[in-house]
Amino acid sequence: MTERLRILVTGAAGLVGAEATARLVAAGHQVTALVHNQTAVIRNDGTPLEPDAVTCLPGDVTKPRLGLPEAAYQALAADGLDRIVHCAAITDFGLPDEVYQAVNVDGTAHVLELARAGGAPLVHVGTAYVCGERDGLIRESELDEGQRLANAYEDSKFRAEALVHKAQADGVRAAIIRPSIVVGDERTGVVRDYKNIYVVLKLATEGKVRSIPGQYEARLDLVPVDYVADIITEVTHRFEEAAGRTFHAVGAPLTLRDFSDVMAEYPPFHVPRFVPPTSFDAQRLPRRERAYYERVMTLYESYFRRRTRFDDSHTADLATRRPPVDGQDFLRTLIDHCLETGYLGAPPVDATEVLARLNMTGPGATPTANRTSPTGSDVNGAGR
Amino acid sequence: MTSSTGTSSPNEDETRSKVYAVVGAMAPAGDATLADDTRLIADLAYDSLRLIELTLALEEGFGLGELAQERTATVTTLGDIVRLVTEARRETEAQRETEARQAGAGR
Repeated sequence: MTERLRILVTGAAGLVGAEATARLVAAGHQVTALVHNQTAVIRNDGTPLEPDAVTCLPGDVTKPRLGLPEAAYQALAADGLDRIVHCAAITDFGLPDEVYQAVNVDGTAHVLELARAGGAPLVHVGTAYVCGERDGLIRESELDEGQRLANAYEDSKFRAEALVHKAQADGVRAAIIRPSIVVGDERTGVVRDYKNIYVVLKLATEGKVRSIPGQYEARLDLVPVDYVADIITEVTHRFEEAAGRTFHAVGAPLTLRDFSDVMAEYPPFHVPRFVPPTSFDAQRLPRRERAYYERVMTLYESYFRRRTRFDDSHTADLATRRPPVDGQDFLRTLIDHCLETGYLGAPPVDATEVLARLNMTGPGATPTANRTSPTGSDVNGAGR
Repeated sequence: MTSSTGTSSPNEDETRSKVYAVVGAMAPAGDATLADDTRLIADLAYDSLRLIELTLALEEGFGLGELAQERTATVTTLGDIVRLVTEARRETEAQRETEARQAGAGR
């Protein structure tokens, strides 16, 4: 039995935060869960943590003192926390820049203030994608390599991590964990929220997006949420060994070719084609596909061109658990779960069908050329 | 922004009932009661992808031009959609008249 630690977890209601909180509570620690809008901590499998197992503290990392009343903040700062595990972050794409600044950058600054005031060691949860658009092998010891950051999310997480480094130089003790793309449970595929890569999978497999600018050799790294939570827990426990270091919590790299091959195994699925970005022109897409492309796919486009590979030797040195060995097998597990829950496989009736049922197709309707034509959306496929 | 003063357009009631029909038929939570203050996400369980499909249905069903993302982004209730579609229909109508006039003048 390890010693009983007093731990503050920020973002404790989030996907990663909740799983980390559940593990720390199960290990017998005294956990205070900083939550924003939620009043309970729900595990990834949908079960709530017993209310008396954890102290839920409503707060807001975007505000000074984490939005806590003076007394509550002083109690945390003065009473001495043994660890702060900072999971609070915006991970959705496509939000206004100021949201990322407020939560991911200012939020981290406020957490660092608490760590400094209370002398508490900090476990900072970042992202492997602070590497931005760098290609090739990314090491845990690297941060600022002059890389281009693809979006406001990456930019904010990069700056947050830079703040942690700066605080470390000023004496704050910290360890950084960088997950890649967090997805469902390694064994069951279960995931609480379908976001990011799941949305891309849904649009692609439903045939709403048929051609995507990208390269079959590009690689995406998917990591099971339970593995990430295990690494956070281990780093929190063994902070003395982890302090000052960065750990990639990465999983199974999959090329877009690997994705295509697995998707093709499922008969109801459409399989998108990846076309060279230089020969892709969104304006040539049919209106319907263009709407999905412009509103969703553009957010992720940069990831379909990168040939990133993450080195995780720090994590391998410290942790007992290793990530999934076979990326394609893991992807099948994830897809199977989505099929079970109905997230994938059975798209709801589309606009055309609804309008037909309501007798609203007719003279007033805008002709949407190519909408149902199977060849219509291949306009960008020619240069493959 | 189109002025909302003056007498309401003769087809505003028609627009409302059609918008209700489309939004209701496409709603993930199918059996909810519909009113102008019904919220698309909280009450009807729309998510971001279903909202895109709804936008396409409105464009197609009402013969509108493309509804820009900036205009659809602020929509939260059924009443917001009725206003947006009413406005967009007026714009489409005005556009057609202008085009007809220009075509006539060019003869």
